[in-house]
Amino acid sequence: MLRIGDATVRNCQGFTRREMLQVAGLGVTGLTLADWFRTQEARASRPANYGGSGRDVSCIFLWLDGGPSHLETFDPKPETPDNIRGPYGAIRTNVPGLMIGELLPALSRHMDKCAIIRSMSHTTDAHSPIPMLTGFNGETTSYGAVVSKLKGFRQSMPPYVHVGSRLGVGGGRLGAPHYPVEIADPSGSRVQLPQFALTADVRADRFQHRRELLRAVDRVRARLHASEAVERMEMSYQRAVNILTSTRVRDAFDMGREPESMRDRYGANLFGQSCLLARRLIEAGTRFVQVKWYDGIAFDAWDVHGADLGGMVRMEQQLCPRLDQGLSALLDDLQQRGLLRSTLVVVGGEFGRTPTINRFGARDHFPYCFSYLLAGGGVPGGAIIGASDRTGARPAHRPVSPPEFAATLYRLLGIDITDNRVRPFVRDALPVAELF
Amino acid sequence: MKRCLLLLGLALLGALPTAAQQAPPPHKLLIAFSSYRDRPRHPQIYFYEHDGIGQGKVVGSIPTVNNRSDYHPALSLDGRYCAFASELENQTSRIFLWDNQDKRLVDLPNVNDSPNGQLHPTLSGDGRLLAFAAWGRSGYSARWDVVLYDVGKKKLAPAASLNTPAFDERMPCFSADGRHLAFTSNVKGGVGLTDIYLYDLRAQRTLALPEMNSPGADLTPSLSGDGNLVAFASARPGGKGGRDVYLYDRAAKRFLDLPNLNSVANEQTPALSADGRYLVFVSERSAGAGERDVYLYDRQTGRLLPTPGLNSKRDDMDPCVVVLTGAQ
Repeated sequence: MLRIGDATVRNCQGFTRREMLQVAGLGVTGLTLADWFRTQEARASRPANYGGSGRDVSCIFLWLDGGPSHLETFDPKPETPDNIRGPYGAIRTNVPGLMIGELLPALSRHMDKCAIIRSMSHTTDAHSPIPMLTGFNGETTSYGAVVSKLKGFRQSMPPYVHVGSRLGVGGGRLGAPHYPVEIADPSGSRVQLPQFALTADVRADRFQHRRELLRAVDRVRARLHASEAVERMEMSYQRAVNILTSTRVRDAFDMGREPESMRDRYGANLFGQSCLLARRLIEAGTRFVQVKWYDGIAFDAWDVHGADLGGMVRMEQQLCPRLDQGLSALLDDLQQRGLLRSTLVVVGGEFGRTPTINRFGARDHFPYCFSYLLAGGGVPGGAIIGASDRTGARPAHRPVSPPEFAATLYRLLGIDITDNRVRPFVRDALPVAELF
Repeated sequence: MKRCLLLLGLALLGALPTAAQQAPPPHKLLIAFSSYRDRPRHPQIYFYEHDGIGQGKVVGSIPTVNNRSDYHPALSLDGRYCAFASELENQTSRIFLWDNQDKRLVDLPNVNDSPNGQLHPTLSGDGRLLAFAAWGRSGYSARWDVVLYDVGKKKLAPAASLNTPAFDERMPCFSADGRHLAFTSNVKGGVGLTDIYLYDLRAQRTLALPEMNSPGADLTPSLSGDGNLVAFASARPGGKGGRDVYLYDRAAKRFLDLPNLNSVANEQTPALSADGRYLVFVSERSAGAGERDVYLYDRQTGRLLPTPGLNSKRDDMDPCVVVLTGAQ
């Protein structure tokens, strides 16, 4: 029996009115997330349509913030004129005839798992993640948000996680429920999840108490207004509680559970540890992990305008070695765990770099032709999609636009791009057929 | 009785100083390095003194200005002079020479007479010769070339056949005796795409090191004082993982073991002391204070030496080392 209006009254389970009011607020435990979960629940109740392919592929998107040079990574041009050719050459890979940049020797042994698009092209030369993380200028709904909406939860794991500092895209038109869970820094032994942390004044035992309260309130509500909506609300709250209390979720984010040797294998740097966390999350059930190359200190991203700290030497000593180690370890690890076929790894940034070397001895922004690497997820290993011209300045063959890339990505993830829920994020674009 | 003798023996042993306590510090090392410790967006050059055993401290830095990044320090043998590269935001990298005794920059006419980037300075042991890599410098090729400069005469020095017109010569490093200059080049015909070469300033000719180079990129060479030992970084197969540090003995034509130095992480930018005993390098191993840390390795003991205060939570990098007192 629930009595309201008596400050000291307890309900049938012995809860005070004050406690009831606390539960009604629900902000005290981080359960303002319930709205997010409710939306997730609504989505999950619809039958998924994977376009008949039966694929249910997860995604790790490695965002090389700043715009990596295609000429020094996945589209080397060692035979070009002096003002274009960089100081690094091209090395053979384990795919006959396929060459990549000299600074990626470990990755060269994994190219049989990878496909490279060498003819990506758009016209936005500012540092915007929008074209390549949504498919369209003016769009802010990221790939991860669409995946979150269409595929929802798996095994209590949040469907969309972003690792690194914040990017300018997120839930977009799909709203707050489809914003990613954000992890700023995975390098500690215990990853902090601010969105899912209990507030400082709520101890774990009090949280459990309130959780029981919540159940009691919802049972009363259900009796009074039994309906499907109330039921969904209950499930949403339950999901939020699960994330706060689930051993599986907690363990997935707990990098301290990885042996030191595994952490070293990925590289004891933010990118390496982000790749490792991404693997842990995918393995636990997260559907889309977006890793942003970090910008913790100046010039640490791929925006290599200058010769030394601003550019080429940094690429030589930091960027490429870390990418080489982290990505190679990730591909190895996914394969050894049997996850590579069900996990698409995407590697790229907002654009490429100018073919002509500037006065600093480095390269500037260049969106008109650049490369993306895709691995796993059923992509044909060793495939080269499109081609750049002799200097890497324009697509010479089969240009791929961001909308086509979006359609390709969704299709690779097993999402039916003819689904009306997907059409706004693909429009009329078609996937790159060579990748299927 | 036996117990008494044993106790007496133990008391005598306790009264004797241990070997480490007894021996004076054999060396005084000076390490110059670049670090973001005080300025998260712009690194600065620091000096660190070490006793060659396990104690050391930061003893100074090169003053800088806002928005300027200083890196790649290179010391003269007595530690008085330190050449370094410097880059004001949105400007090309310049080469400077710091007099650590008079605490001032040394005037170097013509060195920075180029609108294009210049970096990787190196000094001969006496500080009289300076070399650096320059991009598209007038009078040189349109690509990266190594430029020699006579600090005493304050003018560029000739270096016949050091550079190639169509390829990149970079990362120069003098031997302390000033006779040899190691550098990297991507000239065709090497063992790999980027190989290490040695330029003999006396003979004015370049020596290839085919037995030392690999098909992979071999980078950032450093020489012992007589130019015989070559330390460098390479991602060649067979290492501990990522890039590793290697040490090659040119006279013996063999690689020297570096036990306990490399790890599964990337080890880079090694620098030898002139006597070849000490190696400083950067590693990203997980036990460090930050992502990139500077380590000091003693070849005589085959161990990494403790370096309290050398590293910070931010990146520490580009080390070089000279032995100020001791076995130099």
